[in-house]
Amino acid sequence: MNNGKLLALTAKYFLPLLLFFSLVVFFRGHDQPGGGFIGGLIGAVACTLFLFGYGSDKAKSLLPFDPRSLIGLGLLLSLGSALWGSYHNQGFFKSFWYEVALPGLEPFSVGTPQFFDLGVYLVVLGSLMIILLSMWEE
Amino acid sequence: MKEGILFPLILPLLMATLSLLPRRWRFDRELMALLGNLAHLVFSLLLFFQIRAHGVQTLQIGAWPAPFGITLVADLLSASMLIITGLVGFLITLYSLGSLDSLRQSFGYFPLLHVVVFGCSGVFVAGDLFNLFVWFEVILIASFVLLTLGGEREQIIAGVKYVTLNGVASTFFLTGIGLLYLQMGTLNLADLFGKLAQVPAGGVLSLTLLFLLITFLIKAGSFPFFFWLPASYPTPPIAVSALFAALLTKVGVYVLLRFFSLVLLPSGVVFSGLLSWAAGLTMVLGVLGAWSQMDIRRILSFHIISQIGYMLMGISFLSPLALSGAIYFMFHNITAKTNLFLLGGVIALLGGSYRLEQLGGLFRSFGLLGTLFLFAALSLAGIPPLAGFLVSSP
Repeated sequence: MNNGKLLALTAKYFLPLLLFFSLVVFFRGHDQPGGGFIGGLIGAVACTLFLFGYGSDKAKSLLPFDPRSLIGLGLLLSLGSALWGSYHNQGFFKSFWYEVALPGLEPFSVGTPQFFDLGVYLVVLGSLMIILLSMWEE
Repeated sequence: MKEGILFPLILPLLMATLSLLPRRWRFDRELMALLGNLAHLVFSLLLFFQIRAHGVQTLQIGAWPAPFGITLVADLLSASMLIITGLVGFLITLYSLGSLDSLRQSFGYFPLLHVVVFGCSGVFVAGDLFNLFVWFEVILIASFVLLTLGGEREQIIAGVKYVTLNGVASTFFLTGIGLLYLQMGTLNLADLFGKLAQVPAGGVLSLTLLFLLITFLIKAGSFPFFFWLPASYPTPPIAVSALFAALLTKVGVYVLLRFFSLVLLPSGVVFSGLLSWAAGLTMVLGVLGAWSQMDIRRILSFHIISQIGYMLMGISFLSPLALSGAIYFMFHNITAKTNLFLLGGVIALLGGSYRLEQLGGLFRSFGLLGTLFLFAALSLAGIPPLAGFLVSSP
């Protein structure tokens, strides 16, 4: 496989940019267009560019876990956020929002739907990476 | 306990999730699959007794009120289906421990098995049509990967056929759902039951319901849509075939049962003549197909189709006795057919082939195996002391 230098260089500098963009899209979800699914897709695009530039070994070491484990973690996170409502006796999947005030930041709210969405992000990223890595290696 | 209905859903999902975690964080996958499916069976039984004592159980997801939110409903039929799903899941896990190569296991066999069980359990408690669609997709994706796991050429071809036809079914389903929502403003099955009785039957409504009927007929493997079934069932490892044979088509039959009693009957648009014809042709063609085959797996696959015909015939008569006959036959068929598939796997293991002409003389060396197979097969044929007899003699 011809790993062009230009492609490698582009991938190197675009990776943080695309990952940041995917996080922005992820966080503006819920009330505005965006969210876990599309954020995960953009995250996978970032990883794919890196894969094209540097090959599958380096792309694998980019991910903190095996892609399959990413799916597992994502599902666990989503299931946990759904069970949070059951745990508080308000019903399965009932959403909860908490105000968080950190020093130096404006107060913002964190809710179980965001954790559910984060789970979706991880599942999408994991599934796409499984597909792309196995196609790359063939 | 209000959340009782959730356990048969959460358990398989949790098992799938836990067996996907990184190796150093998770328990033994096989042990977990066994215990998880056993727990599924136990909780389904508990749910069954809960329903018997306190009536139909419902749960509103996210505490949204009924016709707007997602509702999970379980009555005795749902609970019985859940029990048999748990039982089949447990037995197939047990069987796969000994029969499946480690390559397939490492590629995520167990997580996928859990997801199929998860999807089927979801269908049995779904309270509205769109939720039902989502569960169908869950089953479809997981079973497609399970079917092609291993990547043999034959499997890929089967997988493409399977996913294409089921994709067509999904399109029909989604179109039907959209049209129905447009006319009725609700998709909740209990709500539809009440509202459909008040609207006059018209051409558009009939067309909508026909779309849904076609979907469920494809899912059930009925004439004229059954060809995905014999093309795909014989190709994966026998444990997977047995799982598919036990659950996938029966999910379609179960939904047809619900669809007929909750949607078609109150709407006044009853395709019972159409269904009888489809059922009759399914019965005959399935058997003719089975007759012409020499491979155990193919014979059994074609035979499933024929038996689906019997169940559909029971549904199409629309009398309580015929319905209970169809339900009883469904349970009988799930157990007997799964049994035969698994025994077929043992036969192939001992005899070295699935083809009948190469298996001659196996009975002489393994008499007990033959006797077991005979019991299940005779039960399917409806010989008196066995369960199938009750079905054949209304």
